Amino acid sequence: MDMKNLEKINNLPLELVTEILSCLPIKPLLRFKCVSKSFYNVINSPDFVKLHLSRSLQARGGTLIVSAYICIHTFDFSDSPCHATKLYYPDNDDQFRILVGSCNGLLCFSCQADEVTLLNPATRACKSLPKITLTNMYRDYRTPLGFGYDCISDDYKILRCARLRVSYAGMPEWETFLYSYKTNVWESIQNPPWTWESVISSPGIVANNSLHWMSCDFKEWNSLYINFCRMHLGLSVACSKDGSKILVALMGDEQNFICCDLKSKEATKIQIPGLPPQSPVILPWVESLVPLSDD
Amino acid sequence: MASTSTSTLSRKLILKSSDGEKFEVDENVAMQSQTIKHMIEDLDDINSPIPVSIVTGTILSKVIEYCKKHATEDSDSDEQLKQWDKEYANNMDLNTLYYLLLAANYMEIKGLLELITQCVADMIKGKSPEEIRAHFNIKNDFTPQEEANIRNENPWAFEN
Repeated sequence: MDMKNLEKINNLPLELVTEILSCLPIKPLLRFKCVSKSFYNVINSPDFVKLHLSRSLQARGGTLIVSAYICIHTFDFSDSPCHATKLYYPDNDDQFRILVGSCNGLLCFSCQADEVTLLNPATRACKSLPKITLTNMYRDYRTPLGFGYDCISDDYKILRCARLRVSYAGMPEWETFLYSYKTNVWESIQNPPWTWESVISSPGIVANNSLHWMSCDFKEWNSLYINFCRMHLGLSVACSKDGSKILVALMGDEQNFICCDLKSKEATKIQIPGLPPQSPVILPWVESLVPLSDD
Repeated sequence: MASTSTSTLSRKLILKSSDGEKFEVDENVAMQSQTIKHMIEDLDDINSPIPVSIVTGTILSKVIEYCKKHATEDSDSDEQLKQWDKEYANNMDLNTLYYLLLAANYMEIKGLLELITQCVADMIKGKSPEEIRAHFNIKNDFTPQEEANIRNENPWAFEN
């Protein structure tokens, strides 16, 4: 077809340029901020961050993030062949961090010194949260923690508990805290109607704007869980975009992934090259521009 | 007259481009465009040509090619349709893609708009800010100091 009768287009409306930008990965977007003032303003605007995030969530196949204490990797298990890519991880200290949550591109880490940090590995922005000041707190980083986005107040929140040191032998006492990104404050809130003791210290999952944890309160469940753990801790970590496949990670000494095809009901062990041998935490992830200001 | 009949498959519509070219298409093909769908609802005489005022014949024929492919509910699997979309977009130069983008936006064809924006995004993602300015015909309105400051926010984004 003869396209010569088309004049060279001089300007695309900003609305359409914005549409194009919303399909780009993070790295070129950060680079294109210096194209012009209008590009800079578009890419930095909260509306654009949300538009880009919704595009990424929509397009996401089975992108996961894997944390192995001192590094993080990502891979999309719906890619074939799939290969893990190393992501940015701050190496300014040798703190031993545990990945405890992933939401809208932000990762939440908890570390031994009872500190919580947020990281956006795509933009390399990092934020250390204020410490919870509690003199008689039992320092234990394995306490349950839930990180998520609260769509009602348009805020990122973290729910965590602190076990208090009690001088007498008895039931441990807990204090529950809620952190809000907007206010940057941990607020002591009422304890939940169940004991934190009963919650397995796996990341809380946000569904329907509420956090959910697995409980090991029931006797049968407890023994089942322990038996299961003894063999291997199985964790269904991702679902392919069309819902036909799920990936199950079996925790153990070496990486162990099983891909289950729900149509053919076949399960195959798959290898993901590029991952460190031990990868204790695997969570869904998406690349996003969600900002983190360290103030 | 607006039709609520379900036997719309056989109805034909005439689309008229900005440069006067006329295209006869099945109604279900034209209805992929929300803009045309709304126009038909307001139209008294379905036999009169429907003006697609900002789209030239060359581009309109391309748009119709896309709509025809996506209107037929034949045995094409999602995979095959994706492959067709890919080849359709890959056969066009950047300027044609921009005209298609304007057309898809004006005609409100969601699928085509998404296809073309993703295709353009894939074409520009490896480019430098200078190349982007040339591509979109954008004037750099930063002072050298302002530009340097923004580059320093994320220097790693400029590395390969």
